Amino acid sequence: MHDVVPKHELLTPEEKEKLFGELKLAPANLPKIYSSDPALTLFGIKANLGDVIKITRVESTCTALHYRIVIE
Amino acid sequence: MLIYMERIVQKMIEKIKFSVFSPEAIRKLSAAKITIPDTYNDDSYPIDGGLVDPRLGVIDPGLKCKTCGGKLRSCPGHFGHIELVRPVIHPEFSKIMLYVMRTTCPSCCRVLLEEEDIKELAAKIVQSDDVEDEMKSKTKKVSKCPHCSEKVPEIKLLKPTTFFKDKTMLLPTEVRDWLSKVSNEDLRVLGLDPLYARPEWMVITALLVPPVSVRPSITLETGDRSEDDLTHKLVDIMRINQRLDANINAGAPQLIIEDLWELLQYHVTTYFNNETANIPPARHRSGRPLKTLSQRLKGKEGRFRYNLSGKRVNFSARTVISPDPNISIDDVGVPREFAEELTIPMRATSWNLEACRQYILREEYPKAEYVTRADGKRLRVTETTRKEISDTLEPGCIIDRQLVNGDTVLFNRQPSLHRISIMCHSVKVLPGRTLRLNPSDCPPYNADYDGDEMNLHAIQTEEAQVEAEVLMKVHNQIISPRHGAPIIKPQEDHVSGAFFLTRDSTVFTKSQACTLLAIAGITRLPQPDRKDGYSGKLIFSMLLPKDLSLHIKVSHSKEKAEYSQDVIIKNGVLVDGALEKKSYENAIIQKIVSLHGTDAARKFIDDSTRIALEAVTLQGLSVSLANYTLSPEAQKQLLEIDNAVTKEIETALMQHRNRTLKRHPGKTLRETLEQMIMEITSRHREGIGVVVERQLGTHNTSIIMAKIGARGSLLNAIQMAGSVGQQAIRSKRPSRGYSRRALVHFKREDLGSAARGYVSSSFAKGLNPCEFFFHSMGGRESMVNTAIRTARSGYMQRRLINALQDLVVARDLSVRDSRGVYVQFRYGGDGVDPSKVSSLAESEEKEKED
Repeated sequence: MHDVVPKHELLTPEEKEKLFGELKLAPANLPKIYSSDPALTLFGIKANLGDVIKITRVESTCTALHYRIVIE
Repeated sequence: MLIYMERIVQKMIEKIKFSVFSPEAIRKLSAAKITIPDTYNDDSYPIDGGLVDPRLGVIDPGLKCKTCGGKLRSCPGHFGHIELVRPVIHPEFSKIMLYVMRTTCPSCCRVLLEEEDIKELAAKIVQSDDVEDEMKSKTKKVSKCPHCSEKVPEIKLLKPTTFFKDKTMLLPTEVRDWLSKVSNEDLRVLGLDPLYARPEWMVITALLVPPVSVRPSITLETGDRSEDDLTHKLVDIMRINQRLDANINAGAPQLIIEDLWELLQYHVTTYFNNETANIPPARHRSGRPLKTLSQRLKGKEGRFRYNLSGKRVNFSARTVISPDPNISIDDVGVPREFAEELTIPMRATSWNLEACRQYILREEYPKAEYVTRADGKRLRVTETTRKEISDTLEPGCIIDRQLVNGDTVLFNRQPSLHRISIMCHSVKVLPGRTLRLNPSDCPPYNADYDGDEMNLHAIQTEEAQVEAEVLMKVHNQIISPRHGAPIIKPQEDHVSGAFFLTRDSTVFTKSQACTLLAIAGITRLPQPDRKDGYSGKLIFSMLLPKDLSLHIKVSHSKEKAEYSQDVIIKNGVLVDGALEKKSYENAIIQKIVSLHGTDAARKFIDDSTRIALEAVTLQGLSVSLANYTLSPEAQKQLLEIDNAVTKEIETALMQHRNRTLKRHPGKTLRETLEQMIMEITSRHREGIGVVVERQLGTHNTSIIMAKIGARGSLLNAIQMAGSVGQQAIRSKRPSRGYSRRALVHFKREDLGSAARGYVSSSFAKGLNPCEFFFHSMGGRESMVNTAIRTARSGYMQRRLINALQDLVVARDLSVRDSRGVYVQFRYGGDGVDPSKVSSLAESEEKEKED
């Protein structure tokens, strides 16, 4: 795996619940990711519709967290 | 869904539907049926039933609208219509008509699909963009109608408006009959909403005539009327329509009727769009193409980009800018003429009633122009009305008074690339005819004084004034949001002045010290710190806050102790070191902002730059040819270096010819040679630099300015005094121009230094013609590059702004778009605003650790 590919993780239902509670956001407010996205294949994630993927991007100044919702 | 927006948004637009007018709708809407292809009669009165029928609204003052009874201002105008004797195709809808005809049967007018398929499609009614494509591909291979077994003809469209069915032309009437027979259910399957857009409505039988206010006629000085292009076009349509009618009634042959019909089609087509492809544009008598409906809206000069996104406003001023270092960075110098023309509304209250009255009673400059009374009546203040208005003045009146010192205005220079291209200044009315700007304000605007013009906007409401003061005031922009370092900072002579002021050798007499301090408004003279007077460091320290302590490391501290040593400030006293660009403009200002806020920083910049300018004036700073004249021995040294360059290049060339040159990895032999030559020239440029620097000495003003970062670089001095050096095109030596040589003055395949753009002369000495030409080649390249870069980056910026303009940093520091969808979960990944982070804090922490 190339080291510029940021880490993708599948959130468990509990984590998902917590995220939606904490950020007060609706699934519709999340950016999307295809279930067929190559990054998911790369990390061996089998995602279903409505799952949330956590992406950890390590940058020069910070480590930023992103969340994406799986579509299709 | 949208927590942070819900409270503000009361109504949301769900969708907008555009539809086609049916002929019935047009007739119902129409205020007048237009029957006469003319405008005014001989008494210059609008003809009833003509194209400027009084029922369509009024444009002449005094006349009343026959439809609504309104006058010039109150009547919005009303649409009329023309009944076309023969229908014509609407050119902008021909594609949709083609689509409908291709997917339906000409005889039974059903969609060319099996009944079950139609039912299935009708059931799921999907309104999406690709319905059309889907239907096209589904019906493409159908050769026989599944409903009536009729052979499906080939329908062609000869753009813009002529249809062919198996190579015979279809008349608009035939098209209309066909389209009107397609059932509503079938249209839904095709993706059309029959309630809003029946395809036969796209064949025009009644033409909508816009109200006169849309196409006003202009009265020339001679008294003649000149009609709008649209009116001209409508007259054309009417004339042909009448001729066609007359011919049909007289029983003219079909051929003539069809000719006229086609002409009517042409006029209607150009009425909608005079730039229709394959159609000659309709022209005015003078030969100028007419500006018809499409042309009014389209492009840069169209309604959208010119009028709706355009930005011409009242209460604004524009002229050339010039520098005034004596005004504050928060100020803008406004010419008296401007101040007299621009006004600001001032609300009369019980507290400022007397002040308002004074403005009204004044006959000269700061006077009131208009008074809007509490009942909304607007009165002009003139000599005759002045007394009365001032007597009736009461709280609630609004006085439009001229611009005075201290008024809040916005100042802007285009291109407005970032937020600090528009800042809030306070007015300073000055004599002269230019807008005055403190030189320290130049970097954010990217302005200089070589003829730049800037715009000024007088803010009209209190809310806007306060908002501008808080968000946009110049002193709040000192720290740039881009990198967290000051962008409003001392320039050029300020830096030179501060350096002269703060170096060890500077001593002032008592009277000089008093003058300098008085500039900053300091009236307390400190105890002299030198036996012969007051040191510059002492004077400068008077400007620093008492709690300021800094140790600024200056990078090249070792080489020249004379003017580059570490700057040490302890408790507001400059202990050691002379200020140069970095310490002055970055470190000190940044520290003051973080300690005492932006207003203290403003005062520091104002005062220190003014004192620095006085100091540089006392000292004297000028540049002459003598700055760049070298002694004979230095010139000899330069000659030696020059010879060494030629010789080394010769050697390299020799090796190349003998094939003894060692090839660099990954390079061809020729590339190796070029690389070596480039190395040789750049190595010797450094040698020349050393000679020049040593020769010109540390007291040379040019060198001082370069070293402290006030203006120019060492390279400039080297090129002027020593040698201009190797010219490059696309970072290679010039090689093209003539066959195998760059200039005709050299032999072919001459790879020597002079033949390939090495300029050994200096600018002071002057270049020989070949050198001059090579220099021009390099100069042209850099010029073209700048031109291309600005154009390209401008367009890129435009696209970026359009893409990002709706993004918002929400309260939880996430970045979201207008729908509330996350773009970043934390602004910038770390939620940090660079302008609120001091780069000094980091280095200080390090120091503490040490």
